[in-house]
Amino acid sequence: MNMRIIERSFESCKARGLKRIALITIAMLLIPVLADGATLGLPETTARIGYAAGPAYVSIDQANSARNSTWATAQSLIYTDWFMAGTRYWAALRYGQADLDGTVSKIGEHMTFYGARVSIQDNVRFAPGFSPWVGAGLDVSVRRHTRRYTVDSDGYLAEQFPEQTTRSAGLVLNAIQEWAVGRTFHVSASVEQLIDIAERFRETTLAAAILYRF
Amino acid sequence: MYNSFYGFSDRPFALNPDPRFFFRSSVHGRALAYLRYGLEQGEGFVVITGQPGMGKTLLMRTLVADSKVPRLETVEIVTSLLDGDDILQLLTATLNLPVHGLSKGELLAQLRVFLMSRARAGIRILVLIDEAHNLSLRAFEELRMLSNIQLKESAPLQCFLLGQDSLSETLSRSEMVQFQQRVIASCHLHPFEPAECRQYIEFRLKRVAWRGTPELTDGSFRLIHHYTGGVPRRINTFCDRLLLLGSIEQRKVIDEHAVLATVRELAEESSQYSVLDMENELDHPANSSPALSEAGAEGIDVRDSVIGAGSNFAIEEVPLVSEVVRLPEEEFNDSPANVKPPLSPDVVPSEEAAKKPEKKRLVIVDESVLEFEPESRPDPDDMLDARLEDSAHATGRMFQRLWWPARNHNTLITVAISAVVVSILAAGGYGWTRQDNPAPTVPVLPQTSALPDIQTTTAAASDMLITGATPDADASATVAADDGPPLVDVNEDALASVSPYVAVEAPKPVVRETVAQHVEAPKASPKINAEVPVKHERKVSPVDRVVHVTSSETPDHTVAVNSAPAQPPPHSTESVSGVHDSAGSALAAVALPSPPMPDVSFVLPINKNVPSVQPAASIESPATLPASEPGRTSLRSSGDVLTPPPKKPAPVEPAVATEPPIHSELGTLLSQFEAAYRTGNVPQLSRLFAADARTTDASGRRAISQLYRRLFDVTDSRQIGIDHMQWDVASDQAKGTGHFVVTVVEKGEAAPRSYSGLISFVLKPGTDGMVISQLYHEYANH
Repeated sequence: MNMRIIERSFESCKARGLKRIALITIAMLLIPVLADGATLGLPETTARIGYAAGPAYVSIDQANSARNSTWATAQSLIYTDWFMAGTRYWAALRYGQADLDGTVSKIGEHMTFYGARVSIQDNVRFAPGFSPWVGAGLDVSVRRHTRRYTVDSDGYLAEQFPEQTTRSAGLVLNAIQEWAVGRTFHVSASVEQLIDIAERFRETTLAAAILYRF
Repeated sequence: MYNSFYGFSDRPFALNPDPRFFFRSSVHGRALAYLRYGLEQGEGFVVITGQPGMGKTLLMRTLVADSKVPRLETVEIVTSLLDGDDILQLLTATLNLPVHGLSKGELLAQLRVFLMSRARAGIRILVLIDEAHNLSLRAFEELRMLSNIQLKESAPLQCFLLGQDSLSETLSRSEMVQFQQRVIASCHLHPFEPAECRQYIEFRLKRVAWRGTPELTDGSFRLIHHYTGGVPRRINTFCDRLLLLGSIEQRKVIDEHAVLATVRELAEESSQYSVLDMENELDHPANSSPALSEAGAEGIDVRDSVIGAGSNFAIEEVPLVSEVVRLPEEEFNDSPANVKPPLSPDVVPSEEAAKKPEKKRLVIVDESVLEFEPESRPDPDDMLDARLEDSAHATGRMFQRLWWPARNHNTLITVAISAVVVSILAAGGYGWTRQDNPAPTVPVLPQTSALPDIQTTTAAASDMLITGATPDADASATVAADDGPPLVDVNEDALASVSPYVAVEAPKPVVRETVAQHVEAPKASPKINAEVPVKHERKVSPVDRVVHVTSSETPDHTVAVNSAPAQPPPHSTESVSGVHDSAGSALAAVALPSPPMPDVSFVLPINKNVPSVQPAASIESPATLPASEPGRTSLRSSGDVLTPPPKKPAPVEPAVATEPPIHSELGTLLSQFEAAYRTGNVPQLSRLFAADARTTDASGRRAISQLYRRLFDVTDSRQIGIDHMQWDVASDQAKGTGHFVVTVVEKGEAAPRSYSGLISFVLKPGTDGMVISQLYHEYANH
């Protein structure tokens, strides 16, 4: 039933590929929940929630074939748990804002983006104190572009553009190093790279996170 | 470099310990026998001492390499400059157990469960601690506490301590009495004799395909022994350089010239090679040591070779020798001249003595070169001390081994005579014999009576102990060896003529010199089970084991199982534990020493009606057990409410009832479970579960296997220990509840996580034995 509701909500999406990606993402979120259990030697709950924040360098292709870039701030709510065969999944709900400056050729705008990312990660043990999680996954995002404009050579407003809402899907690569703080908390540092399928949007995110095993 | 010149297949005198080059000298062969005995005992501590370079490590590796003990895991700890906590952490890490982030209590708990799990799997852990003389007293104490861990009658951990002479001194301290009691074998490695030194060199040369080239002359062997002191490592170093020099000079014959040239080279490089006084040797070649005099007799200019050319050879700053005294062995032992020895006819006063009064005298007794301060004649005490240190005489060697901690012979004689007198006073007149004593027997005190019912008595070397016979006889006394006032005043002058190896002929008991020196004779176990035939009607004995709880802060306590009513303490000095059948008759009795006593044990007469033999610990009898269903018997283990006895705590070995087959099967199943868990073997783990098994998390073998596979996937390492199991055995199933400790290192994490709690099993018969029907756990510290 829930799946049908979700499916209907995506009926408006013109890109069927995006809908398929979203369905896979949700399914991946459900699988570990079904397999959860307190095996002898693991805590009763192995899942963790967390919060991450950090700068993100965003770059967007604009309608006039120009590419505008800036630093943004991004925040995430994280949920992670073991997946299968020693891997884990890392799900994040993201929200961020960016202000791109307008020029004669580049459209300035205020961009608000939110979306979800799910990646599957495996641990790579380089050294006893350095064993980052590296993974790959999917990203679905919705971006709201407002206050879009260009300026003339003197810096005065030259043209205003209508607001836009774009949706995108992409491949995300990430590497996360964690450190335990006590029995239930972890802090982590991560770097993520988003590769948009439509190649209109790129993002590199650095983030610090705190995770809690409840 | 010289290998090719002489055609050797390998370096004959490499310094690294290599079991291929283990030379079974008389002392090393004897030591190896002791160590094998200790290894076969599988418990306690084995101590090997010797000065640096004596081959302790090689001896140990040879022992381990040749060991026929099945399922023996050996860990070696070399860095031993450690305190108590450090040794625990290092041992834990050496056993590949997690260390980081664990408190001492967690470390101990982890070690305990690890050792217990290993013991259940039939695996013994042998810890070799090299350079053990560097260990602190706390470290020794921690090791001692670890040795208390026992699984039934076997100890999962055994320690071999290797160290220099100071290790013996440390162990002989009064606060180490408890540790001493756990030393089951010890040996001291002495340097080689000249003949063995030659055999050693030739042995190593033959190991590398030596076929007579280079040829070593007799004199060269003597000189090598003289300069190296018969210490293997020094021999190796020396001979390595000697062969190098020989190859450089294209020598096919290694003679005294080559040896002295090597001495000169080494003396310029380090301070470990020296001679007593070459000048005197040259002035009085007839009185010099044999090796040197022979070298001089063969026309070698020792002065030029050794101290000529301005070499700084007298590095040990040995003063010049003013006179050389030769004393035969007989004079040294028995002559009253030892008290104030006049110069014997062999004494050759040196003319230079008057000119150079600061010179020392060189005294040669049976080829042992001794030095003495000027302006004094050789003092027999000093000579005896020196002989104990240096002599190759068999008696002295035995004496040194026996009384190593107390080298001052005045103390020894005082203690020995005190022990004799106290034994006469306390026990009514009996003495002891030293079975290996080659010294003449000297009757000292008359014997009056022998004590009844004593079968075996052994005493540690550091504590002279004369014990009473029966629990009713208050006839024990301990004479401290080092500290404490002497019990009896002894006229030392009167004793000077008496050999320290006083032997008194008496039938029983026998006080032996050390346990280690009687390897050939089986050591009387302090735990002796004597069984009286009793018809067993029950399938399972009511008592699993008596809990033995120890603490480093408090004396050992024997504790009762299942809160049985406290028994009055026995009125005897011995603590006896036993297992009783329903009629209360003794099935077995264990006689144990009181705490202050060293390694002494009595065997009490087994008598079912002996009222004085009461268990020190309250042993659970069937009447005190909880009501059980017919046909159902509880197997109780440790972990229940434990109450120390009100008086006179004494260490009590576990009294183990004969287990029915099903109990051993339960232990085997748990061991298999622990092993599969530790190794992450899902198929093996799956086979331990019934098809319809249930756990806390899943139902069915397949689901359980999936969960454990997931656990194994997400953890890099795991350890589990299940302990304190209490089984309730019925005909068709067995239910058990106990404690578990799990330590896992999750993927991506550096620090381990430990979980502990309660675990319960329900086992039922499967096609191939017992399988797990239900497994539930509950975390206590999650």
